[in-house]
Amino acid sequence: MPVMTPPASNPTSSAATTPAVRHFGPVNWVGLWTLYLKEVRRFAKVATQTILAPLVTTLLFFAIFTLALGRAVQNVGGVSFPEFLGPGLIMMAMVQNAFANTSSSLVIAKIQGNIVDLVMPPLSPAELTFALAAGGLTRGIAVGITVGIVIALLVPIHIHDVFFVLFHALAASLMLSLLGILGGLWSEKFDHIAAVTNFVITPLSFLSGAFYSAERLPGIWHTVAHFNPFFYMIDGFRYGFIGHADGSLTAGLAVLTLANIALYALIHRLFAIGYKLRP
Amino acid sequence: MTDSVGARIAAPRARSFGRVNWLGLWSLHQREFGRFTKGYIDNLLGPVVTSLLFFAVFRLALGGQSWNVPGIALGDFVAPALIMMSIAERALSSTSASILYDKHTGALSDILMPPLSALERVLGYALSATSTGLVIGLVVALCLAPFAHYALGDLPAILLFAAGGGLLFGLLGVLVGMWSTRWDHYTAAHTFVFIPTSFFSGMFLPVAVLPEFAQTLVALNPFYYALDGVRGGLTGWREADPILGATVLIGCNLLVGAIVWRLMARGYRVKP
Repeated sequence: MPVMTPPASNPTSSAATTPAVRHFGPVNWVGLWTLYLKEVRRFAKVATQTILAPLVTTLLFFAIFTLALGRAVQNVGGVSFPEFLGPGLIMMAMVQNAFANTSSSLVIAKIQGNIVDLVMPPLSPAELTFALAAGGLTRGIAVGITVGIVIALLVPIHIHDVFFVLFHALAASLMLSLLGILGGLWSEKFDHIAAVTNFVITPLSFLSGAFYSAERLPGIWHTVAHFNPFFYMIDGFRYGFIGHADGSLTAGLAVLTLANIALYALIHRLFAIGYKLRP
Repeated sequence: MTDSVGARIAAPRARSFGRVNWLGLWSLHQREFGRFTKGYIDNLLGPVVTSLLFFAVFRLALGGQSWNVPGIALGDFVAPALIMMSIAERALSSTSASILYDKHTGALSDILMPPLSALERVLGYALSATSTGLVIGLVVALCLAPFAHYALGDLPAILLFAAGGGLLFGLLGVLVGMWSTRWDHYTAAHTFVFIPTSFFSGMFLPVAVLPEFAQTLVALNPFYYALDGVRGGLTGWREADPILGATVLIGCNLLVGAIVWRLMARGYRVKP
C-alpha cells in the first residue's frame, strides 16, 4: 500500500509573492473596461454576421423599395424617395443591431452558463449596466457608420443639422442597447428573445416611419404612431439630414432622454436585485 | 435454461420491408413536422407578423399615389410574394436548423443509424419542409385575404408551384444543414444567399421594369418561377410562361435533389 504523503509544499512558493487583492476606488475601471472590450470583441470577431449581414439586408431593402416605389413616389417630406428612405434605414439597422448585441450576449451567456463570469467579478450594478450598454451602443454605431457610408454612395446625403444626427444616433442605439439588456435578463431560452425581437422590436421599427411619412397615416394611426418611441428616433435622425420632421423635435429629444434615464435606472435596479441572474 | 427463457420471451425480429421503408420515411416526416406543431403559435405567428408588416409598410410607403403596374393592384401583387417567401423561408430554415441542431447535440445519429436509405433521408426532410411550408403559406394567405383579392383561377397550378418551390428550398435546406458546422454558416447562407435570391425575384416589382442585366439574372432564379406561378394561379397576372416555369422548377428540384442525395449517400459532413 503506498504511503499517503501530504503534498509537499513548494519551498519557492513562500518566497514568491502571493496574489494580492487588487484595490480600486469607487469605480472598478479595469473591470469596466474589460467587460466593455469583451462585449466589443464578441461582435467584432464575427463581423460578417454582425456588420456585413445588416449591411446586405439594409441595402436589399433600399434597392427593393427604391426600385418598386421610386417612380410612383416622387416626393416625400420635401425630398426624393431614396433620400427620405436612406436615413430611416440607417437608423433601423443601428437600433436592431444595438438590441441584438446586448440581448444575444446575455441569453447566450445564460444558456452556456458563463453568466457567472458576469455576476461573480467585483463589478457593481452600475458598472455592469454601463459596460453592457456601451457594448451595444458601439455595435449600433459601427453598423450605422458602415451602412451610412454605403448609402451615401448611392444617394446624395446632406447633413442639415449635425446635432440631431449625432444625438439621435447615440440616444437610439443606447435605448435599444438597454432594451436588449432588459430582454436578455428576462429571457430564459432563445425562443423568448426571438419572440421579443419578432413581435416587439421588428414591428416597432418597421412601423416607425422609416419607409413612409407619418403625416400620411390615416386618422387614429397618425396618433398611434406618435406613441411609438421608434418614431422619434427616426424622425429626429432624418431631420438631421433632410431638414424636415413629421413630429415635434422637442418631444423627440424629451422622449429619448427620459426613456434612456428610465431604462437605465430600471436595469441598474434589476442587476442590483439579481433579477433572473441569481438562484 | 436459456432456451426456456428464449421460448417465453420472443426475441424481437427484424422488421422486413420492401424497396422503400415507408414507415421510416413517414416517421422522419412526422418527427420534423412535429417540430412545427409543437410550437405552432410561434411558428405561425412569426411569418404572419412579418408578412403583415411588409404588406403594411408597402401600402403606406406608396401612400395615395398610383401603383404604376397595369393590370394588377398593389395588394394582389405583393400578397402572393409574401406567401411564397413564407413557404420558402420556412422550408429552408426548418430543415437546415434541424440538421445543424442535431449535429451539435449528437441526435443526428438517430437519423443516420435507422434503416433509411440516403434518398429516404433526403425526402423525409424535404417533404416535411414542403408540408410545413404549405401550412404556413395557407395561413399567411388567409391573413392577407382581407387586403388582397384572390381570383383563385387555377388551384392545381397554385399547389404545383407552391409545393415545387417549398420542395426546392427544403432540399437546399438539407444541403445547408449538411454543409454547416456552426450557426455562423447557417446565418450566412440565409443572409447572403436566401434573402438576396428571394428579394430579387420580382417579389415587389415587375421584372419588366428592371434593367436588362437584372432581367437576365432574375430569369435564372428558380424562386422567380415559383413565385410567378403562385401569383399567376392566385390572381391571373403572370410574367413568365407557366410551362417554362414548371419545367425550370421540376428540373431544379431533380438537379438539387440528385446532388443532395449523392452527398447524403457519401455522408458529406454528417458522418465521421
